[in-house]
Amino acid sequence: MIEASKLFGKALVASPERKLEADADLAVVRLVQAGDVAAFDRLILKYRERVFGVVYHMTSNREDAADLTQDAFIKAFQSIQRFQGQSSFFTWLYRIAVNSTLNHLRKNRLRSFFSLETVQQENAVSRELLDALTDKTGVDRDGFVRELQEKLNEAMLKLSIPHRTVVTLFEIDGLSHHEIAEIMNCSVGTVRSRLHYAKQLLQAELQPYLRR
Amino acid sequence: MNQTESNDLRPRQSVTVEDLLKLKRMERPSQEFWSQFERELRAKQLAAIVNRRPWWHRLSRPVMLTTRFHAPIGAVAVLALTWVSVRQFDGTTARALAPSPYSPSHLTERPADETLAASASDLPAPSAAAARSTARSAEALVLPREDAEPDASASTAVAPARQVSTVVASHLVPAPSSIATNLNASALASLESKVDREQAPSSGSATDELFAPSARLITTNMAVVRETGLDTLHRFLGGTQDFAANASVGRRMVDPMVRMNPVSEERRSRLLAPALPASSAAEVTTASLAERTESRLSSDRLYDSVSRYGVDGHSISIKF
Repeated sequence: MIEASKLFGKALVASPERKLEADADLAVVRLVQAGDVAAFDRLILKYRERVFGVVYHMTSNREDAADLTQDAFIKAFQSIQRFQGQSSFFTWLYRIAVNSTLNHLRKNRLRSFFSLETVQQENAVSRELLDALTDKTGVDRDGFVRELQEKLNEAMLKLSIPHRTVVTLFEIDGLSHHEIAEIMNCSVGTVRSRLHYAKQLLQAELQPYLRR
Repeated sequence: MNQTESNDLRPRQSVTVEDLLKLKRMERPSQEFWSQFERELRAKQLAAIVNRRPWWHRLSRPVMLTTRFHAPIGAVAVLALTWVSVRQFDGTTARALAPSPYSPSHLTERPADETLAASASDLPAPSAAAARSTARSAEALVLPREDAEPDASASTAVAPARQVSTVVASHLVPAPSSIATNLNASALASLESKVDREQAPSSGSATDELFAPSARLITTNMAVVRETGLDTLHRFLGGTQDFAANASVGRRMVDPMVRMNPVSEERRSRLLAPALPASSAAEVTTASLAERTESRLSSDRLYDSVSRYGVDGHSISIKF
Protein backbone atom coordinates (compact mmCIF):
# COMPACT_ATOMS: atom_id res chain seq x y z
CA MET A 1 0.00 0.00 0.00
CA ILE A 2 1.31 3.39 -0.92
CA GLU A 3 1.55 5.78 1.94
CA ALA A 4 -0.58 8.82 1.38
CA SER A 5 1.98 11.04 3.07
CA LYS A 6 4.46 10.25 0.29
CA LEU A 7 1.92 11.22 -2.31
CA PHE A 8 1.11 14.57 -0.74
CA GLY A 9 2.53 17.66 -2.25
CA LYS A 10 1.63 20.64 -0.18
CA ALA A 11 0.22 18.46 2.58
CA LEU A 12 3.71 17.31 3.55
CA VAL A 13 3.84 20.23 5.92
CA ALA A 14 0.84 18.86 7.79
CA SER A 15 1.19 17.49 11.25
CA PRO A 16 2.04 13.79 11.92
CA GLU A 17 -1.49 13.22 13.13
CA ARG A 18 -2.76 14.46 9.78
CA LYS A 19 -0.42 12.09 7.98
CA LEU A 20 -1.55 9.08 9.97
CA GLU A 21 -5.11 10.11 9.47
CA ALA A 22 -4.52 10.48 5.72
CA ASP A 23 -2.97 7.01 5.50
CA ALA A 24 -5.94 5.49 7.29
CA ASP A 25 -8.34 7.31 5.01
CA LEU A 26 -6.49 6.13 1.94
CA ALA A 27 -6.81 2.54 3.06
CA VAL A 28 -10.55 2.93 3.44
CA VAL A 29 -10.76 4.65 0.06
CA ARG A 30 -8.95 1.70 -1.54
CA LEU A 31 -11.56 -0.60 -0.05
CA VAL A 32 -14.37 1.49 -1.47
CA GLN A 33 -12.65 1.57 -4.86
CA ALA A 34 -12.36 -2.21 -4.70
CA GLY A 35 -16.17 -2.46 -4.32
CA ASP A 36 -16.75 -2.33 -0.58
CA VAL A 37 -19.48 0.31 -0.58
CA ALA A 38 -20.13 -0.06 3.16
CA ALA A 39 -16.59 1.11 3.88
CA PHE A 40 -17.62 4.55 2.72
CA ASP A 41 -19.92 4.82 5.76
CA ARG A 42 -16.87 4.94 7.95
CA LEU A 43 -15.64 7.97 6.10
CA ILE A 44 -19.07 9.58 6.43
CA LEU A 45 -19.20 9.02 10.16
CA LYS A 46 -15.70 10.31 10.56
CA TYR A 47 -16.06 13.57 8.63
CA ARG A 48 -19.74 14.47 8.62
CA GLU A 49 -19.57 16.82 11.64
CA ARG A 50 -16.52 18.64 10.39
CA VAL A 51 -17.83 19.00 6.89
CA PHE A 52 -21.18 20.09 8.21
CA GLY A 53 -19.48 22.61 10.53
CA VAL A 54 -17.56 24.19 7.65
CA VAL A 55 -20.62 24.41 5.45
CA TYR A 56 -22.80 25.65 8.28
CA HIS A 57 -20.44 28.46 9.27
CA MET A 58 -20.18 29.50 5.67
CA THR A 59 -23.93 29.55 5.07
CA SER A 60 -25.30 30.25 8.58
CA ASN A 61 -28.22 28.02 7.68
CA ARG A 62 -28.52 24.52 9.09
CA GLU A 63 -30.89 23.16 6.43
CA ASP A 64 -28.73 24.38 3.59
CA ALA A 65 -25.68 23.09 5.37
CA ALA A 66 -27.26 19.66 5.77
CA ASP A 67 -28.17 19.46 2.08
CA LEU A 68 -24.79 20.67 0.95
CA THR A 69 -23.00 18.23 3.24
CA GLN A 70 -25.05 15.34 1.91
CA ASP A 71 -24.39 16.46 -1.66
CA ALA A 72 -20.69 16.64 -0.92
CA PHE A 73 -20.65 13.06 0.35
CA ILE A 74 -22.68 11.87 -2.63
CA LYS A 75 -20.29 13.56 -5.05
CA ALA A 76 -17.34 12.07 -3.24
CA PHE A 77 -18.94 8.64 -3.41
CA GLN A 78 -19.65 8.97 -7.13
CA SER A 79 -16.17 10.22 -7.87
CA ILE A 80 -14.18 8.06 -5.53
CA GLN A 81 -12.91 5.94 -8.42
CA ARG A 82 -11.08 9.00 -9.71
CA PHE A 83 -9.42 9.67 -6.37
CA GLN A 84 -5.76 8.76 -6.85
CA GLY A 85 -4.35 9.70 -3.46
CA GLN A 86 -2.38 12.70 -4.67
CA SER A 87 -3.89 14.62 -1.76
CA SER A 88 -5.47 13.42 1.44
CA PHE A 89 -9.07 12.25 1.34
CA PHE A 90 -9.83 14.83 3.98
CA THR A 91 -8.55 17.66 1.76
CA TRP A 92 -10.29 16.21 -1.28
CA LEU A 93 -13.60 15.95 0.56
CA TYR A 94 -13.24 19.45 1.97
CA ARG A 95 -12.56 20.81 -1.47
CA ILE A 96 -15.74 19.20 -2.79
CA ALA A 97 -17.78 20.60 0.07
CA VAL A 98 -16.28 24.08 -0.11
CA ASN A 99 -16.74 24.29 -3.88
CA SER A 100 -20.36 23.16 -3.56
CA THR A 101 -20.94 25.72 -0.85
CA LEU A 102 -19.31 28.49 -2.84
CA ASN A 103 -21.50 27.67 -5.83
CA HIS A 104 -24.54 27.68 -3.58
CA LEU A 105 -23.61 31.03 -2.06
CA ARG A 106 -23.00 32.58 -5.45
CA LYS A 107 -26.35 31.34 -6.73
CA ASN A 108 -28.18 32.60 -3.64
CA ARG A 109 -26.21 35.72 -3.03
CA LEU A 110 -29.28 37.83 -2.40
CA ARG A 111 -31.04 35.26 -0.23
CA SER A 112 -29.69 34.73 3.28
CA PHE A 113 -31.70 33.31 6.10
CA PHE A 114 -30.39 32.52 9.54
CA SER A 115 -31.10 29.06 10.77
CA LEU A 116 -28.77 28.69 13.70
CA GLU A 117 -27.84 25.80 15.86
CA THR A 118 -27.89 26.01 19.61
CA VAL A 119 -24.66 27.01 21.32
CA GLN A 120 -23.54 24.28 23.65
CA GLN A 121 -23.01 26.20 26.84
CA GLU A 122 -21.91 23.14 28.73
CA ASN A 123 -18.50 23.25 27.15
CA ALA A 124 -15.80 24.63 29.45
CA VAL A 125 -14.44 27.13 26.97
CA SER A 126 -17.83 28.52 26.03
CA ARG A 127 -18.95 28.65 29.64
CA GLU A 128 -15.87 30.57 30.73
CA LEU A 129 -16.20 32.96 27.82
CA LEU A 130 -19.86 33.56 28.44
CA ASP A 131 -19.16 34.14 32.09
CA ALA A 132 -16.65 36.83 31.23
CA LEU A 133 -19.13 38.50 28.91
CA THR A 134 -22.30 38.31 30.98
CA ASP A 135 -20.88 39.24 34.38
CA LYS A 136 -20.47 42.86 33.43
CA THR A 137 -23.51 43.20 31.25
CA GLY A 138 -25.84 41.64 33.73
CA VAL A 139 -28.37 40.55 31.15
CA ASP A 140 -30.00 37.16 30.83
CA ARG A 141 -27.45 34.60 29.67
CA ASP A 142 -29.58 32.79 27.13
CA GLY A 143 -30.78 36.00 25.57
CA PHE A 144 -27.27 37.38 25.48
CA VAL A 145 -25.95 34.21 23.90
CA ARG A 146 -28.68 34.40 21.28
CA GLU A 147 -27.88 38.02 20.54
CA LEU A 148 -24.16 37.37 20.36
CA GLN A 149 -24.75 34.44 18.05
CA GLU A 150 -26.78 36.57 15.66
CA LYS A 151 -24.18 39.35 15.71
CA LEU A 152 -21.46 36.86 14.97
CA ASN A 153 -23.32 35.44 12.00
CA GLU A 154 -24.19 38.89 10.72
CA ALA A 155 -20.55 39.87 10.89
CA MET A 156 -19.56 36.68 9.11
CA LEU A 157 -22.09 37.28 6.37
CA LYS A 158 -20.71 40.76 5.83
CA LEU A 159 -17.43 39.21 4.78
CA SER A 160 -16.91 38.22 1.21
CA ILE A 161 -17.22 34.55 0.37
CA PRO A 162 -13.45 33.88 0.14
CA HIS A 163 -12.76 35.75 3.36
CA ARG A 164 -15.57 33.95 5.13
CA THR A 165 -14.24 30.63 3.91
CA VAL A 166 -10.74 31.37 5.18
CA VAL A 167 -12.00 32.45 8.59
CA THR A 168 -14.20 29.38 8.84
CA LEU A 169 -11.48 26.94 7.89
CA PHE A 170 -8.79 28.53 10.05
CA GLU A 171 -10.50 29.90 13.14
CA ILE A 172 -13.43 27.52 13.49
CA ASP A 173 -12.27 24.29 11.88
CA GLY A 174 -8.63 24.67 12.87
CA LEU A 175 -6.97 23.91 9.52
CA SER A 176 -3.48 25.14 8.74
CA HIS A 177 -2.67 27.79 6.16
CA HIS A 178 -1.29 25.20 3.79
CA GLU A 179 -4.35 23.02 4.03
CA ILE A 180 -6.59 26.01 3.41
CA ALA A 181 -4.44 27.01 0.45
CA GLU A 182 -4.75 23.51 -0.96
CA ILE A 183 -8.49 23.41 -0.44
CA MET A 184 -9.10 26.86 -1.89
CA ASN A 185 -6.53 26.43 -4.64
CA CYS A 186 -4.63 29.59 -3.80
CA SER A 187 -1.31 30.51 -2.27
CA VAL A 188 -0.52 30.54 1.43
CA GLY A 189 0.15 34.25 1.25
CA THR A 190 -3.30 34.81 -0.12
CA VAL A 191 -4.75 32.83 2.75
CA ARG A 192 -2.85 34.87 5.31
CA SER A 193 -3.79 38.13 3.66
CA ARG A 194 -7.45 37.20 3.54
CA LEU A 195 -7.37 36.06 7.13
CA HIS A 196 -5.80 39.29 8.31
CA TYR A 197 -8.28 41.42 6.40
CA ALA A 198 -11.23 39.36 7.59
CA LYS A 199 -10.17 39.67 11.21
CA GLN A 200 -9.92 43.41 10.88
CA LEU A 201 -13.46 43.57 9.54
CA LEU A 202 -14.78 41.26 12.24
CA GLN A 203 -13.07 43.30 14.91
CA ALA A 204 -14.74 46.41 13.63
CA GLU A 205 -18.13 44.74 13.49
CA LEU A 206 -17.91 43.07 16.90
CA GLN A 207 -16.32 45.97 18.73
CA PRO A 208 -19.06 46.19 21.45
CA TYR A 209 -18.34 42.62 22.51
CA LEU A 210 -14.58 42.89 22.63
CA ARG A 211 -12.62 43.69 25.76
CA ARG A 212 -8.99 44.47 26.14
CA MET B 1 -2.91 20.08 26.94
CA ASN B 2 -3.34 20.53 30.65
CA GLN B 3 -1.61 23.89 30.44
CA THR B 4 -4.01 24.96 27.72
CA GLU B 5 -7.01 23.94 29.76
CA SER B 6 -5.65 25.78 32.74
CA ASN B 7 -5.20 28.89 30.60
CA ASP B 8 -8.77 28.51 29.33
CA LEU B 9 -10.12 28.09 32.83
CA ARG B 10 -8.25 31.13 34.06
CA PRO B 11 -10.47 34.16 34.72
CA ARG B 12 -10.68 35.90 31.36
CA GLN B 13 -9.73 39.55 31.33
CA SER B 14 -9.92 40.21 27.62
CA VAL B 15 -12.22 38.99 24.84
CA THR B 16 -10.87 38.93 21.30
CA VAL B 17 -12.30 38.10 17.91
CA GLU B 18 -10.75 34.66 18.12
CA ASP B 19 -12.59 34.04 21.39
CA LEU B 20 -15.88 34.97 19.83
CA LEU B 21 -15.19 32.69 16.90
CA LYS B 22 -14.47 29.88 19.36
CA LEU B 23 -17.89 30.47 20.77
CA LYS B 24 -19.28 30.12 17.29
CA ARG B 25 -17.51 26.79 17.08
CA MET B 26 -19.78 25.58 19.86
CA GLU B 27 -22.80 25.80 17.58
CA ARG B 28 -23.37 22.12 17.04
CA PRO B 29 -26.46 20.21 15.99
CA SER B 30 -28.17 17.75 18.28
CA GLN B 31 -28.12 13.97 17.99
CA GLU B 32 -31.59 13.93 16.43
CA PHE B 33 -30.31 16.06 13.62
CA TRP B 34 -27.66 13.48 12.84
CA SER B 35 -30.18 10.69 12.78
CA GLN B 36 -32.24 12.53 10.20
CA PHE B 37 -29.08 13.44 8.34
CA GLU B 38 -28.12 9.77 8.22
CA ARG B 39 -31.47 8.75 6.76
CA GLU B 40 -31.47 11.44 4.11
CA LEU B 41 -27.92 10.69 3.12
CA ARG B 42 -28.68 6.99 2.84
CA ALA B 43 -31.62 7.71 0.55
CA LYS B 44 -29.54 10.01 -1.63
CA GLN B 45 -26.75 7.49 -1.77
CA LEU B 46 -29.10 4.73 -2.91
CA ALA B 47 -30.61 7.06 -5.49
CA ALA B 48 -27.15 7.88 -6.75
CA ILE B 49 -26.35 4.18 -7.09
CA VAL B 50 -29.62 3.34 -8.85
CA ASN B 51 -29.79 6.40 -11.08
CA ARG B 52 -26.67 6.29 -13.13
CA ARG B 53 -25.22 9.59 -14.14
CA PRO B 54 -26.03 10.66 -17.70
CA TRP B 55 -23.49 9.86 -20.36
CA TRP B 56 -22.73 13.53 -20.97
CA HIS B 57 -21.44 13.85 -17.45
CA ARG B 58 -18.72 11.42 -18.40
CA LEU B 59 -17.91 13.55 -21.41
CA SER B 60 -17.66 16.67 -19.31
CA ARG B 61 -14.49 15.52 -17.60
CA PRO B 62 -12.35 15.16 -20.77
CA VAL B 63 -13.70 18.49 -21.90
CA MET B 64 -12.71 20.06 -18.61
CA LEU B 65 -9.26 18.53 -18.87
CA THR B 66 -8.76 20.18 -22.24
CA THR B 67 -9.78 23.61 -20.97
CA ARG B 68 -6.26 24.91 -21.18
CA PHE B 69 -6.09 23.92 -24.85
CA HIS B 70 -9.31 25.64 -25.87
CA ALA B 71 -7.63 28.89 -26.91
CA PRO B 72 -4.85 27.27 -29.00
CA ILE B 73 -7.31 24.86 -30.60
CA GLY B 74 -9.62 27.74 -31.45
CA ALA B 75 -6.78 29.77 -32.90
CA VAL B 76 -5.63 26.84 -35.03
CA ALA B 77 -9.19 26.28 -36.23
CA VAL B 78 -9.54 29.93 -37.22
CA LEU B 79 -6.23 29.84 -39.08
CA ALA B 80 -7.19 26.63 -40.86
CA LEU B 81 -10.55 28.07 -41.85
CA THR B 82 -8.88 31.22 -43.12
CA TRP B 83 -6.37 29.20 -45.11
CA VAL B 84 -9.07 27.04 -46.67
CA SER B 85 -11.15 30.11 -47.49
CA VAL B 86 -8.20 31.82 -49.14
CA ARG B 87 -7.43 28.70 -51.12
CA GLN B 88 -11.04 28.41 -52.19
CA PHE B 89 -11.13 32.08 -53.14
CA ASP B 90 -7.97 31.71 -55.22
CA GLY B 91 -9.45 28.73 -57.03
CA THR B 92 -12.64 30.61 -57.75
CA THR B 93 -10.69 33.61 -59.00
CA ALA B 94 -8.55 31.41 -61.20
CA ARG B 95 -11.64 29.85 -62.74
CA ALA B 96 -13.17 33.27 -63.20
CA LEU B 97 -10.01 34.51 -64.89
CA ALA B 98 -9.70 31.40 -67.04
CA PRO B 99 -9.68 32.08 -70.79
CA SER B 100 -13.14 32.21 -72.26
CA PRO B 101 -14.05 30.12 -75.28
CA TYR B 102 -13.73 33.25 -77.36
CA SER B 103 -10.34 34.30 -76.14
CA PRO B 104 -7.46 34.01 -78.55
CA SER B 105 -5.34 31.93 -76.24
CA HIS B 106 -8.10 29.41 -75.82
CA LEU B 107 -8.60 29.14 -79.49
CA THR B 108 -4.94 28.76 -80.25
CA GLU B 109 -4.59 26.05 -77.62
CA ARG B 110 -7.30 23.99 -79.17
CA PRO B 111 -6.35 21.64 -81.97
CA ALA B 112 -6.66 23.02 -85.40
CA ASP B 113 -9.45 20.68 -86.45
CA GLU B 114 -11.41 21.39 -83.31
CA THR B 115 -10.94 25.09 -83.76
CA LEU B 116 -12.14 24.94 -87.28
CA ALA B 117 -15.12 22.80 -86.46
CA ALA B 118 -16.16 24.85 -83.47
CA SER B 119 -15.53 28.29 -84.81
CA ALA B 120 -18.82 28.49 -86.65
CA SER B 121 -20.84 27.25 -83.74
CA ASP B 122 -18.98 29.41 -81.24
CA LEU B 123 -19.75 32.58 -83.04
CA PRO B 124 -22.42 34.86 -81.70
CA ALA B 125 -25.71 34.97 -83.52
CA PRO B 126 -25.00 37.89 -85.88
CA SER B 127 -21.56 36.60 -86.71
CA ALA B 128 -22.95 33.14 -87.33
CA ALA B 129 -25.53 34.55 -89.65
CA ALA B 130 -22.85 36.48 -91.49
CA ALA B 131 -20.79 33.36 -91.65
CA ARG B 132 -23.67 31.48 -93.17
CA SER B 133 -24.19 34.20 -95.74
CA THR B 134 -20.55 34.23 -96.62
CA ALA B 135 -20.64 30.49 -96.82
CA ARG B 136 -23.44 30.72 -99.30
CA SER B 137 -21.34 33.03 -101.41
CA ALA B 138 -18.43 30.68 -101.21
CA GLU B 139 -20.73 27.86 -102.13
CA ALA B 140 -21.87 29.84 -105.07
CA LEU B 141 -18.26 30.19 -106.01
CA VAL B 142 -17.89 26.45 -106.00
CA LEU B 143 -21.17 25.20 -107.34
CA PRO B 144 -20.80 26.42 -110.95
CA ARG B 145 -17.75 24.28 -111.28
CA GLU B 146 -19.71 21.46 -109.76
CA ASP B 147 -22.39 22.01 -112.32
CA ALA B 148 -19.82 22.12 -115.03
CA GLU B 149 -18.57 18.73 -114.06
CA PRO B 150 -21.59 16.59 -113.24
CA ASP B 151 -20.83 13.41 -111.46
CA ALA B 152 -22.81 10.67 -109.79
CA SER B 153 -20.99 11.33 -106.65
CA ALA B 154 -21.30 15.02 -106.89
CA SER B 155 -24.16 15.21 -104.47
CA THR B 156 -22.14 13.40 -101.86
CA ALA B 157 -18.97 15.18 -102.70
CA VAL B 158 -20.52 18.56 -102.24
CA ALA B 159 -20.98 17.96 -98.56
CA PRO B 160 -17.33 18.06 -97.48
CA ALA B 161 -16.64 20.88 -99.82
CA ARG B 162 -19.50 22.86 -98.36
CA GLN B 163 -18.26 22.11 -94.92
CA VAL B 164 -14.81 23.35 -95.65
CA SER B 165 -16.11 26.40 -97.40
CA THR B 166 -18.33 27.13 -94.45
CA VAL B 167 -15.42 26.88 -92.14
CA VAL B 168 -13.33 29.15 -94.27
CA ALA B 169 -16.16 31.61 -94.59
CA SER B 170 -16.65 31.68 -90.88
CA HIS B 171 -13.08 32.80 -90.52
CA LEU B 172 -13.57 35.47 -93.11
CA VAL B 173 -16.60 36.89 -91.44
CA PRO B 174 -16.01 40.09 -89.51
CA ALA B 175 -16.19 38.43 -86.17
CA PRO B 176 -15.43 39.84 -82.72
CA SER B 177 -11.89 40.87 -82.21
CA SER B 178 -11.14 37.93 -79.99
CA ILE B 179 -11.87 35.54 -82.80
CA ALA B 180 -10.65 37.76 -85.54
CA THR B 181 -7.23 38.04 -84.04
CA ASN B 182 -7.01 34.29 -84.11
CA LEU B 183 -7.47 34.17 -87.80
CA ASN B 184 -3.98 34.44 -89.00
CA ALA B 185 -1.62 32.45 -91.07
CA SER B 186 -1.61 29.60 -88.61
CA ALA B 187 -5.33 29.15 -89.02
CA LEU B 188 -4.88 29.03 -92.72
CA ALA B 189 -2.08 26.58 -92.32
CA SER B 190 -4.29 24.35 -90.23
CA LEU B 191 -6.95 24.72 -92.85
CA GLU B 192 -4.53 23.58 -95.46
CA SER B 193 -3.54 20.63 -93.35
CA LYS B 194 -7.18 19.71 -93.01
CA VAL B 195 -7.63 19.93 -96.72
CA ASP B 196 -4.51 17.91 -97.28
CA ARG B 197 -5.82 15.23 -94.98
CA GLU B 198 -9.01 15.14 -96.94
CA GLN B 199 -7.11 15.05 -100.18
CA ALA B 200 -4.74 12.34 -99.11
CA PRO B 201 -7.23 9.46 -99.22
CA SER B 202 -8.24 10.44 -102.72
CA SER B 203 -4.94 9.18 -104.06
CA GLY B 204 -5.46 5.80 -102.42
CA SER B 205 -8.31 3.34 -102.93
CA ALA B 206 -10.94 3.31 -105.64
CA THR B 207 -13.66 4.50 -103.30
CA ASP B 208 -11.65 7.62 -102.70
CA GLU B 209 -12.09 8.49 -106.34
CA LEU B 210 -15.60 9.51 -105.44
CA PHE B 211 -14.14 12.43 -103.52
CA ALA B 212 -11.85 13.52 -106.28
CA PRO B 213 -14.17 16.25 -107.66
CA SER B 214 -14.78 17.63 -104.24
CA ALA B 215 -11.10 17.58 -103.55
CA ARG B 216 -10.51 19.51 -106.65
CA LEU B 217 -13.15 21.97 -105.67
CA ILE B 218 -11.53 22.33 -102.31
CA THR B 219 -8.18 22.90 -103.86
CA THR B 220 -9.69 25.55 -106.04
CA ASN B 221 -11.32 27.21 -103.08
CA MET B 222 -8.10 27.13 -101.18
CA ALA B 223 -6.36 28.81 -104.02
CA VAL B 224 -8.99 31.50 -103.99
CA VAL B 225 -8.60 31.85 -100.29
CA ARG B 226 -4.86 32.08 -100.61
CA GLU B 227 -5.15 34.77 -103.16
CA THR B 228 -7.85 36.82 -101.61
CA GLY B 229 -8.18 35.59 -98.05
CA LEU B 230 -4.97 36.97 -96.70
CA ASP B 231 -5.58 40.34 -98.22
CA THR B 232 -9.12 40.32 -96.85
CA LEU B 233 -7.90 39.25 -93.48
CA HIS B 234 -5.21 41.89 -93.32
CA ARG B 235 -7.62 44.49 -94.49
CA PHE B 236 -10.19 43.38 -91.99
CA LEU B 237 -7.80 43.06 -89.10
CA GLY B 238 -6.08 46.29 -89.95
CA GLY B 239 -9.39 48.05 -90.01
CA THR B 240 -10.31 46.51 -86.72
CA GLN B 241 -7.08 47.39 -85.06
CA ASP B 242 -7.08 50.94 -86.39
CA PHE B 243 -10.68 51.56 -85.48
CA ALA B 244 -9.89 53.43 -82.34
CA ALA B 245 -7.25 55.51 -84.06
CA ASN B 246 -9.61 56.39 -86.91
CA ALA B 247 -12.35 57.24 -84.49
CA SER B 248 -10.09 59.49 -82.48
CA VAL B 249 -8.87 61.22 -85.63
CA GLY B 250 -12.38 61.89 -86.89
CA ARG B 251 -13.50 63.41 -83.64
CA ARG B 252 -12.43 66.90 -82.86
CA MET B 253 -11.53 67.87 -79.37
CA VAL B 254 -14.09 70.34 -78.13
CA ASP B 255 -14.10 71.99 -74.79
CA PRO B 256 -17.43 71.10 -73.20
CA MET B 257 -17.62 74.48 -71.47
CA VAL B 258 -17.60 76.27 -74.79
CA ARG B 259 -20.99 74.83 -75.71
CA MET B 260 -22.64 76.41 -72.75
CA ASN B 261 -24.11 79.86 -72.99
CA PRO B 262 -22.74 81.90 -70.15
CA VAL B 263 -25.36 83.42 -67.94
CA SER B 264 -23.76 86.83 -68.19
CA GLU B 265 -23.92 86.61 -71.99
CA GLU B 266 -27.62 85.87 -71.98
CA ARG B 267 -28.24 88.65 -69.50
CA ARG B 268 -26.25 91.13 -71.56
CA SER B 269 -28.11 90.16 -74.70
CA ARG B 270 -31.44 90.54 -72.99
CA LEU B 271 -30.52 94.00 -71.69
CA LEU B 272 -29.11 95.18 -74.96
CA ALA B 273 -31.96 93.91 -77.06
CA PRO B 274 -34.04 97.10 -76.90
CA ALA B 275 -30.96 99.30 -77.24
CA LEU B 276 -29.62 97.50 -80.30
CA PRO B 277 -32.24 97.45 -82.99
CA ALA B 278 -29.85 95.87 -85.43
CA SER B 279 -29.48 92.66 -83.44
CA SER B 280 -32.58 90.79 -82.43
CA ALA B 281 -32.87 88.54 -79.43
CA ALA B 282 -33.53 85.55 -81.61
CA GLU B 283 -30.33 86.07 -83.47
CA VAL B 284 -28.40 86.37 -80.26
CA THR B 285 -29.74 83.12 -78.92
CA THR B 286 -29.33 81.18 -82.13
CA ALA B 287 -25.87 82.42 -83.02
CA SER B 288 -23.06 80.04 -82.41
CA LEU B 289 -20.50 80.72 -79.81
CA ALA B 290 -17.79 81.63 -82.29
CA GLU B 291 -20.01 84.07 -84.06
CA ARG B 292 -21.12 85.60 -80.80
CA THR B 293 -17.58 85.96 -79.73
CA GLU B 294 -16.67 87.70 -82.94
CA SER B 295 -19.69 89.96 -82.86
CA ARG B 296 -19.35 90.80 -79.22
CA LEU B 297 -19.79 94.49 -78.65
CA SER B 298 -16.90 96.50 -77.52
CA SER B 299 -17.20 98.56 -74.40
CA ASP B 300 -17.01 101.84 -76.31
CA ARG B 301 -19.85 100.90 -78.59
CA LEU B 302 -21.83 99.72 -75.64
CA TYR B 303 -21.47 102.95 -73.77
CA ASP B 304 -22.11 104.97 -76.90
CA SER B 305 -25.30 103.15 -77.56
CA VAL B 306 -26.68 103.55 -74.13
CA SER B 307 -28.76 106.63 -73.74
CA ARG B 308 -28.68 107.96 -70.25
CA TYR B 309 -31.25 110.66 -70.94
CA GLY B 310 -34.66 109.97 -72.25
CA VAL B 311 -37.64 112.14 -72.99
CA ASP B 312 -40.95 110.39 -73.17
CA GLY B 313 -43.90 112.74 -73.60
CA HIS B 314 -44.48 114.18 -70.22
CA SER B 315 -41.47 112.68 -68.38
CA ILE B 316 -37.71 112.90 -68.47
CA SER B 317 -35.64 109.89 -67.38
CA ILE B 318 -32.03 109.98 -66.34
CA LYS B 319 -30.02 106.74 -65.91
CA PHE B 320 -27.03 106.55 -63.66
